[in-house]
Amino acid sequence: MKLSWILLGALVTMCLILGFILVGETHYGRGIEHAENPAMQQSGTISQSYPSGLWSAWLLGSVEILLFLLCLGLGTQKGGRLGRIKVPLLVAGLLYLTIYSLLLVLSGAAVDQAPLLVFSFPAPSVVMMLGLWPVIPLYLVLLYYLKFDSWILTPDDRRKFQRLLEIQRTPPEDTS
Amino acid sequence: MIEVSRSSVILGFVLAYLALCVVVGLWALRRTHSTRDFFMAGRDLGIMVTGLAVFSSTMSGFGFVGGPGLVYRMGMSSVWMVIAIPIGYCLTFFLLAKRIRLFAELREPISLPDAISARYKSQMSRLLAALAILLGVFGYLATQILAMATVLKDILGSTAVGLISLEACVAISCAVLVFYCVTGGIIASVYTDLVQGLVMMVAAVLVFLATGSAVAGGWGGIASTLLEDDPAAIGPWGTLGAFGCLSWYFLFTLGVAGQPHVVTKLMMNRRVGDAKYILPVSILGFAVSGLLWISIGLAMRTLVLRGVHPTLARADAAASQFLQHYVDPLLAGLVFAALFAAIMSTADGFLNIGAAAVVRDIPQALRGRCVVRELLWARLATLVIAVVASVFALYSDDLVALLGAFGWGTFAAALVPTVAIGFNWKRATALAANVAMLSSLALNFSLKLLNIQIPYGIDGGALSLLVSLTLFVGISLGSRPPDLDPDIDALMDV
Repeated sequence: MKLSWILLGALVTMCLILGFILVGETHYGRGIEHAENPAMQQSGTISQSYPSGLWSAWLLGSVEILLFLLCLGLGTQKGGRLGRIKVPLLVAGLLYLTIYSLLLVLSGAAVDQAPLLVFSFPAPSVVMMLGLWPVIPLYLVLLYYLKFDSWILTPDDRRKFQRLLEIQRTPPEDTS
Repeated sequence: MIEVSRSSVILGFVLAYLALCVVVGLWALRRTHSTRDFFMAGRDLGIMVTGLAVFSSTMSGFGFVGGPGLVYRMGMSSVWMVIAIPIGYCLTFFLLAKRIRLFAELREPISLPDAISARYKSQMSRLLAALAILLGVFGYLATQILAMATVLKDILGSTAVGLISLEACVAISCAVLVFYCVTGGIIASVYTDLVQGLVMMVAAVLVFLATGSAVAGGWGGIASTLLEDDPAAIGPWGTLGAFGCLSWYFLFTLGVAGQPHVVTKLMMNRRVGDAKYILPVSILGFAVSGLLWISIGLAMRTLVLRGVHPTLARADAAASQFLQHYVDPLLAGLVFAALFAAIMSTADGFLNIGAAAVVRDIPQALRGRCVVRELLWARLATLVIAVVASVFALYSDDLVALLGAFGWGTFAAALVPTVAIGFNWKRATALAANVAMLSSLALNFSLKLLNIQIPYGIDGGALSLLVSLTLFVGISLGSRPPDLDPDIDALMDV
């Protein structure tokens, strides 16, 4: 199936998930004003709504990850084919989804019991800060750097582009 | 006496930095000979300059003033923006770094709407892109100028200079900004970005280290105080909740590829192959300066909760209050200089793309030709945009907040489909691009002007981006494939 149809499918799925989350919902989830510090918020009822919202959050986040991967694929495809970069992109997707799922699982566990602390901070926050933040960009940067000359801009691409430039800059022949 | 001395040190740093900006402006003036130099830096920028310019123009006053403020207000919620942007850089480089740079060499566009018009063979697309950019620019620029003036007023207020009106501070901020942008165009902007990027990175690391010692108990103490007050606030979703955070994550990841000040910089580097070195520089810069965003916000929330610091009237005061009271004055001076750096680098980038929209894109779309003496008019347009944005900043608070808050969303929803997707997909049509841009502007402005709140705090810009993307892809797939110019067709196969 072509990448563009999968992209449309992912976008429509995300619209449906958001619609499912939003329809009939009146909970605005913006927290409540702190009792003593008016410019500060507390979570209020948000933490109570976690268990029912976790699955929806997982679905929404997973579709977002799929969309990001499709965009990466769109930027690297050639004539609609992903070629050799398909495998590293799939690995990126799996890594991304694993870290995100771990964050959600730990968030869910923290609802019913005292939060598991790592370096004094709640474990899901640590997964976000030390997992999602550095790991995914680091992997993608390495992929971009290592595959740049062999897939993103190959010597053949450079030659094609030089030919294109030469044609573009050659003045049209006078036919009169 | 000690407080006056602290303030004088801070003020000294800020004045030295502003003087440096003026010097860079004068130097860049000598290097600006043509419109291409003014808008595209002659497409001759090196790796470090481009890499640091990309990140420092993203880390604006919103990042250095608004970021800690958001953490103070909502706990960890806004950290989703910080972790989204580095992935957004990756997406942007995968999608655009090669394509847009080759496009720039082939067709020599001077601005983003120029490139959009060439890609879609549509003057309407050029006009809509220019309007989206101009609307976003006014809001963003007004917010930046107001943020800069507010900080300047706070600093001057605690020195021997004494209280100065906000109007005067706006005038000073606007004058410095216009001076080096009008004289040097984008060359001044990107070379100032280089200095600014370096200052921001150093300052962020030092503040992060200082935060641990500024709060009793260090980072462990911060965590336990915040947990005691509200465990969810220091959890991964903060007080906003999961869906609101995920909407920010979506908007700030994909949205980078629609920020004109980022995308145009990708057209300016010397060699297309440099992109593989520029990406790590930009990501490292943003990740390091993101430390300041998070650490100041958490530290200030802790200090107020413990009663060590009086409660803040406005969350946006978190950064300036922390720096003025809990950090070594030399470091505070450096950070305030970095703060001005962040604000000015973004603002001058916006002045530049706004001027290009006014001088080139809108006249070309409407009359089919550019103005005569383009460079002169570009400089005048820069001045006029800055003055209009300053007036907005001073007298239209609601409008500034309105436009500033969803400036990122306006750019993202209008330009991600048209540029990031459209430049990689031959099937994308002009009709789809125009509908996507129109729908994004209509939805964004309707949500804000009618003050429509979306449940769970889902961001309106994220919703607009999702709708415009879906329309763009759906309409393109449902239309007849467009007839591309042969060179564009061939370029998209490279």
